Amino acid sequence: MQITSAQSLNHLLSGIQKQLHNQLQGNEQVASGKRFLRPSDAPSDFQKSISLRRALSSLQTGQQSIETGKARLQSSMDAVGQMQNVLNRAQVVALQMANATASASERSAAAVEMENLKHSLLNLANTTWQGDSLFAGTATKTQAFILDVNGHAVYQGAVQDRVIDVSSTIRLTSNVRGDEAAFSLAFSALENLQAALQNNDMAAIQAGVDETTQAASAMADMNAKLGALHNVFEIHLTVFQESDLMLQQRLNKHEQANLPEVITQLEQSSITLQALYSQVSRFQQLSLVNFL
Amino acid sequence: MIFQGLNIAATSLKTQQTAMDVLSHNIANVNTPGYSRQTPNLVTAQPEFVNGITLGRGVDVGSVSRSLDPFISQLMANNQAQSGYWDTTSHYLQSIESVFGTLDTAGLNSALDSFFASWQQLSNNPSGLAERLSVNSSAQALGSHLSSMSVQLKQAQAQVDLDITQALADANSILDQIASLNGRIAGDSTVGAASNDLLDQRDQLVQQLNRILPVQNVNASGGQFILQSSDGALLVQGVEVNHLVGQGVPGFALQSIAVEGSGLLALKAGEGSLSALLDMRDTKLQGYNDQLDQLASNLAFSVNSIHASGAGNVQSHVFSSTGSTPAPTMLLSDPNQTIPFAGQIVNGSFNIHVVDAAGVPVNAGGTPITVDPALMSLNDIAIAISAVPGVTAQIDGAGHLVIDGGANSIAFSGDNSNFLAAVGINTFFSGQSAADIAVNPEVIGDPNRIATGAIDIATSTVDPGDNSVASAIFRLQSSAMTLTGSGAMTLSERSEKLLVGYGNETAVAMQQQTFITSQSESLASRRDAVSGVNVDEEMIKMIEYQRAYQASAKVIQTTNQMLDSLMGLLG
Repeated sequence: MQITSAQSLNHLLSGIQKQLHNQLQGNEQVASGKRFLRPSDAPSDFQKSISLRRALSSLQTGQQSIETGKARLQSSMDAVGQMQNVLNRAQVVALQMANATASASERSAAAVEMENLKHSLLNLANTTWQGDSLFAGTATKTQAFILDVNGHAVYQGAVQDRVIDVSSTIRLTSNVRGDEAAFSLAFSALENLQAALQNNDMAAIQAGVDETTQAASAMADMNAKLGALHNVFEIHLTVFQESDLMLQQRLNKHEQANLPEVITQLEQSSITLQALYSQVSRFQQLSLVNFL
Repeated sequence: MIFQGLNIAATSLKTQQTAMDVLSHNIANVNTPGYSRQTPNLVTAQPEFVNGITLGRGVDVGSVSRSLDPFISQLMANNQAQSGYWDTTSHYLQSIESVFGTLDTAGLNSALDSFFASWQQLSNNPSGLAERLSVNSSAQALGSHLSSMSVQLKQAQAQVDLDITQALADANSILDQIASLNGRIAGDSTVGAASNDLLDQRDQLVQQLNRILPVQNVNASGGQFILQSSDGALLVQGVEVNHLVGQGVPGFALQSIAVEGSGLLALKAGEGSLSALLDMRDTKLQGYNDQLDQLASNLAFSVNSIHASGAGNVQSHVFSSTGSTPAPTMLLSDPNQTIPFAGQIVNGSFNIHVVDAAGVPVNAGGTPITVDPALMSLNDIAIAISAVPGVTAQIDGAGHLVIDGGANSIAFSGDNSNFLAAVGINTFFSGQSAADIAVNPEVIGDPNRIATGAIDIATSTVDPGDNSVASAIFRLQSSAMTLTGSGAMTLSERSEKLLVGYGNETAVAMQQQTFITSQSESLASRRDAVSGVNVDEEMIKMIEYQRAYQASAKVIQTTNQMLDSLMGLLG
């Protein structure tokens, strides 16, 4: 079988092409830091990458959603805490006025304070956060409570809760509504106490003490409920943050090129390429034509 | 007798000279593609019987033959066909890589994720203007991305179409050249000469033709050269040619390929660039476009189905459908209906709520509008809506349904007929394919029209904090859906399937191209071993012919001296 110079040169050229291709791939990996960039580089790895990135994106928007829910609940807890203070003050006034030593004029003055306390409670019940009513359910642009013609606080919010979409499968409640028993007990207690003090009715004042105690207890329970809801968000946040970290590590491990290995391969390819170039340059010397 | 010696030496001079001509021709064509090394076959001249003995009369060039292995030629022909197919496929698939994006560029998946993330944020703050603007912009970005991908794929299809035309022209040109060479070869053969160079040229043209479409050479009686396609259609017979022609259908310049006088050509899958081009245009690129369209239509319809029964931050007084009908009285179920998702309309109803300027419901609880696509037209629906107090509906000159409440505001709820989503009333998206999907102009004009909550049946209003609609749209991200009734999958899965499908096809094409190229190199090397010109070998032969020539010249010189001696004796 004869060997022609064209065969040898074509072999060398083919080798050069292969090594140049290896150089190109290696340089791309070094520049991007990734094992693959395009769907055609590694189709199934690319798909896994997209899934991991989507999951990461969901975790990150989920964390933002959780922070929104937490902030809303925290504002609610602050407002309810202050409502507890109002009720505590009302309790103190009621106890003082329940004493037989208090005069009618003192009770009359206490009735005025009770009116002010009721208005404070009303303002707190109508607290807004980022322009939305905290305790009106989904009727966020409506005041949760108004006073009717008789001066009684009436709930005018919605019966739906505000729900946060933490993920496509997790929805968490992020509020308490004004139609909870704690609110009606609180308003009722203050209104009744106010009437009792105005009427100088000892028995009613005594009953008012019990009512305010009951209302304060209900308010504390509601605050505990808010705390529990807040905890749920906290737990989810912790899980999301841990998952975020793990996924980031998995994604990096999955996508990152093994740079020492790539650089070693580039070096080897470079040496082979140099050898090929050297062979091509020597080739023209190896011909009978040069000796005739 | 002495002159016979001179004649014999003269034949040698002439023969060695001819052999040198052949050798020189080989060296001159050492780099000519497809050239087969030629060898002068020296034979002894016809001997003579003289005085009872047979004497040789020198040497002659009996023939000049070319070194060729027909088996390797056939292998190369097959390889050329596969090479043409995979080179073309790999080239085009890599050329559309930018359509599908990379890990470093924001692609379709990223746009989809951003779209649903914006709905999640809106769900958590339904009355927020910033969140509404974010939904608008992410939806427009997603629509633009889908549209851009579709346009680029269609442009690629158009380019492939042009290349098919060019491939046909190239193939026909080669066929004409082969026929012309057949004539010249036949002419040379009648006077007895073997046209090695013409045969090489014809072989080279057949190899080129194989690259476009696989052909087979049939040796007919009388040495006639016949070329057929792989399914037996006659392409060349002697100097007669049947050209390839394209047969067009609307939408593409060429739908199928036929051979003059033989009908449609059945192209062998996996062989020839023509087969690759047709496969690229009609299967791969069309397939990618179809998948994009399915993703867009599922996205648009599923979002619209939820959105149409919701309400936004603002009271709307006028709704104009994004879809239109060619004829107001055409039945909704008519096959010629142009309403985008008319096929999805089923028997059912939707509620229309009318609220006056003071916020008091005109029709408390809403009025149900019955929909029966087999019996009703868009005009019938308009008439039914107009029967509701405080609202009018009509079909405008362009076939759009326009519902106008005047000073009253209008809202919708409880659509279980898909009518609102199909015709495009109170919808988020307009369009139904990747090319035309866009955000409803009414929503772009006023982001407060983005529906986030559902209508309260009692009050006909929506609470600003109600996120039920926005939440449902967000949760579409993980919902498997289908408009065709089969192959339900989530939108993300559709997007991934498209990307990974393209990736797999490209990876396979590149691998096959590498393998076939390696095979080509190996076959070329084997061909060179048989038919190639080794310059060193030619140099050595040159020395042989040179020495023989010198020796023969010496014979002539010696014979001349002998003649001089003889003449001297006589003189």
